[in-house]
Amino acid sequence: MIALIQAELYLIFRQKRTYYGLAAIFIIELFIIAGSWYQGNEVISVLLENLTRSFYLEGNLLNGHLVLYLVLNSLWFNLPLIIMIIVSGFLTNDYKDRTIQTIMLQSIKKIDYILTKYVVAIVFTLLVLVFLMATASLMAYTIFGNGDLITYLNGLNFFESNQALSRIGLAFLSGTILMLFYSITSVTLAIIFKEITITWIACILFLILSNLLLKIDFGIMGDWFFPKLIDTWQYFFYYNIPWSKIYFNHIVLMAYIILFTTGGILLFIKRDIG
Amino acid sequence: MIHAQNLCKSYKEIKALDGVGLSVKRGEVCGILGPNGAGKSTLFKILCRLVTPDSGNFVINSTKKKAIGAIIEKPALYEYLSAKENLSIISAMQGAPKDNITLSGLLENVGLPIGRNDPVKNFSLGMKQRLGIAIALLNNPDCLILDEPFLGLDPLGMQSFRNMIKQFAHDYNLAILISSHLLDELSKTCDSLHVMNNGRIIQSGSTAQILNNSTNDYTICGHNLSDSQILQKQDRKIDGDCITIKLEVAKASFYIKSLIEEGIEITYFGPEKNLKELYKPK
Repeated sequence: MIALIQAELYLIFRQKRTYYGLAAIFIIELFIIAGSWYQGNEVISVLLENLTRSFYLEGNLLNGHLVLYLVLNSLWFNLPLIIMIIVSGFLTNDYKDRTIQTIMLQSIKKIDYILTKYVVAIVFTLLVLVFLMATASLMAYTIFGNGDLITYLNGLNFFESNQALSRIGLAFLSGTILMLFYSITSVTLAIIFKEITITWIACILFLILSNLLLKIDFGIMGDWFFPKLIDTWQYFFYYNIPWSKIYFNHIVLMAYIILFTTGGILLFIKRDIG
Repeated sequence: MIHAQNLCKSYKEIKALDGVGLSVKRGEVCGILGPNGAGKSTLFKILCRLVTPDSGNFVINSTKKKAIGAIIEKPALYEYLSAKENLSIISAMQGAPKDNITLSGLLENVGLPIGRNDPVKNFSLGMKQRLGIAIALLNNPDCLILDEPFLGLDPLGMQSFRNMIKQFAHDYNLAILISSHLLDELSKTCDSLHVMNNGRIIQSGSTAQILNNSTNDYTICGHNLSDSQILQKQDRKIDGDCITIKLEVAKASFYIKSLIEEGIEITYFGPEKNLKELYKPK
């Protein structure tokens, strides 16, 4: 199966659409950073006009930490959307080009093929997040430097520079689990719908519903419902980090990843090819 | 080599296959003839384990890691890769040898240039068919299944493709199952023939025998056909220098001999295959 994974990765990076996806992520980053450059200082000074008279805040508030926090906010919709579109394409393009038939006509088992798609989805998502983290950090800290971080979650929160860095790092790790969830879901949706455009629509709908349902109160059941788990990375910017809630959410999210993967594999094995 | 019995497959209310059975021996080229929607592709997909039959069974007597190599409908390739890269990546996926000598040998066997490094999207359909066969032959299968391989090929391409298939059956002792709705091509390629219609095999036998059964008319072309006494007595259709007459297969050689004796210059004498007759259940 390792040979199959290597071959799939080779194919992914030989296709132009992969680079278009990565370019899209990079462009979003550039927009966030350019937006911060032109308007960030103005917005922050209006927001903190009264506070800066009463408190001493170290460094420039429009700093690398704040820019990275803004980049992290692309985890809500932009980044998962691009990841879902690219990753679902790993399978839907095989259906469209009928290369799935060519592969299945070789001495390759169905389970190995579909497991490879899930593994490659995970590897690709991790690579995208490393790429995002590395490029965003490089640009943010080079251009804006260090300083204290200010966020608005249940009121204004201030974090010293060292603390801000570790919180941003942890939020990225949490966001990685969330992106893996979206990525795995997109492969499962590709198995269900097979067709590229329908799978895209299903992915967009899934994202929109997840974001909408996050705002609705489902009572005690809500703790187990996946739309309620997509904001876990934000808990790292609460003044007191709710660790037990974070652990619980991550475990449930991983259970969803396993559930969606298993469901997708079983469906793929049961279905005919072609 | 391949032995299938009573295969059935339905898609909702449509019966794609209805009790199909067949056998193909090593070194034999077996043809499946049938109109569009006859169930040929479904049969092939079942034999290649892409589709599960509702009932029936089949056995492929092979100890190879890959028993069957196949092209179903048309070759599906990674269009952005070169021919050699296509072979290399699909070999890598299944742990087959992918050294330069093996891959070049495969390309040579199917008559593709070794030195071409441009993407296969630039290839003609004939070249893609050939590359599809090279991919099907990866890992040395014992059987080859080709679904409509002549589709879209020009006459020269068809001839060369036909020769290649016969050569593979002979040289590598492969069992080859090939489908088409082109009667002429199958008749020139196959040792045995099955005729399919509406999901059923309605005729089986040697290619010559089946073609003879469906031949009632012959077309004769020549410069002075109107002088022939023997043709005067026949119910005939005249089209320029050609005449079509009703004739039993057994009498064909007698007519050729008689026409020559009458001094007729024959330029063509050939059977008119009656497809309606061929696809009629026997």
